[in-house]
Amino acid sequence: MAWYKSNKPPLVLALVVAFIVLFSFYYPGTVADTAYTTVVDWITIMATIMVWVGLINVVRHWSRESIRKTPGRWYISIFGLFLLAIALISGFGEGSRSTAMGPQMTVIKWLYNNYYFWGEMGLASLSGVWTATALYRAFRVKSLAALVFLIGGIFVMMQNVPIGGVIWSGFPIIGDWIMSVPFAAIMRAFTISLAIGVLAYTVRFYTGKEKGAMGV
Amino acid sequence: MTSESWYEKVGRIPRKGILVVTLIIMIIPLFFSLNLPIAITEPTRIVFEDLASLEGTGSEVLLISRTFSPHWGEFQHIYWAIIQHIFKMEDVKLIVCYLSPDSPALLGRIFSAISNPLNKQYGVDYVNMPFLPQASAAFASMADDFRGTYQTDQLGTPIDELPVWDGVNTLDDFEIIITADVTGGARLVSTIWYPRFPELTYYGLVLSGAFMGFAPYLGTVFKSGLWGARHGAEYQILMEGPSSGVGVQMDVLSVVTIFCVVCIILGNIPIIAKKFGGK
Repeated sequence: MAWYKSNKPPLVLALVVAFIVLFSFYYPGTVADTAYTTVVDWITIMATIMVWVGLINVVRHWSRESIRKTPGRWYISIFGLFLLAIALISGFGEGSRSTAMGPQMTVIKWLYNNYYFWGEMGLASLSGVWTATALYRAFRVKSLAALVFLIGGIFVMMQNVPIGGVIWSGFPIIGDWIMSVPFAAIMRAFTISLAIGVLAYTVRFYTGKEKGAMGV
Repeated sequence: MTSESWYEKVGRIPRKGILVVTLIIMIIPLFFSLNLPIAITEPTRIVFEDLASLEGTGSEVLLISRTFSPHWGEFQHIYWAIIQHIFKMEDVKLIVCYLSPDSPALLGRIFSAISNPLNKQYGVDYVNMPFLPQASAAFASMADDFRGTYQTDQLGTPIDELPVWDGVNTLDDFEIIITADVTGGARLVSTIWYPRFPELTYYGLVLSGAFMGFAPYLGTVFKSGLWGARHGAEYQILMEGPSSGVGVQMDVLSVVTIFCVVCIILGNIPIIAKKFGGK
């Protein structure tokens, strides 16, 4: 296999970028800093390119489903393509005539406020409606640990709503204490152990032993 | 065939029944307000008092918004409270940066509703910057050269022509920095900004359900923060001007939470009854 087709080039490239970031952190104001700024600029550029890759993939996927008349999906794909076309046409059209960008554009703003926003909100709200039935089915106390978990959960739930303080003034106080003392302490321990794990991963990456991120 | 005991029946309430009751109790507060008192908690008081101390100082406040529409139900009250408070004060300027594509439209609702009544002038008292993709890259760029990160505002006006940008060059030029994110931007602030600007005052606006991501940094990197709709409601009470909807939302949250606790108890009755030999 030719060297450029092997896993070496992406690994070397990733290592170079990783060392640039590392050096810029420990040696600010040097050439590593300039290189780091260039890398950050390129991340933004690549994110913009990825938007186009995403657009092409979405158009391909929806077009394929529409043409093949995939059962239960083809009409949604056509509707998706229709909305996409409106957004693109209005975006490019208005963008060429005014200085307004993105959400400031008339049609985009209307679509966002009247279609996308409420759809997203509705979808998110569904999880709230299902919470009660999920709690009824899943929150069963079958061990001492589950009981402690349940009591802590109820205190935090009651702390988050005004009625908690009305029922018993201790709910907000104990709930707040659970959140800011034991919970924060446990999360700090968790974060520190996570950081140590990341450190171990980074050492493996810098020594060329970790190739998973490269997909090799 | 043995008949089903009462506690076994309690343990088998159909899902549809629970969903219908949830729906009904969510609707009731829309018609009958409970007007429950809301106690002010310490985190809210800290943010409020620190922001209030800026009045008349000519200080600049930086608000970084990385909010998405599904989170708006919780975030809207916090944003309303914070922005309204800043706008009610004399000589406090606000620069708003957007790191999610949804944020400009979401916050645009608040600005269009309150900037005129509170007599705040765009470009002089506040400014909306354009959306920047890749939050981590944007944070890094802002830390390196805040002014250089932007050329124009959201409307395409060069920042040199905007009085609100006068004297703003680096993050050091902000008296208070507020980051609004699912976890309050905790990871980005703690890894990118805090090591370089540890003396600055950071506050986080957080989803109550995602507090776990913010908790390790509370009291260390972040001086305080507001998490969940409740803190937004508390803040609005401190300002003596709750926006419409806060009372209703708090009422709905209250009754649904009580119902959730009832569901937990009902779900556990069969287990407790069996344990104590109930028939």
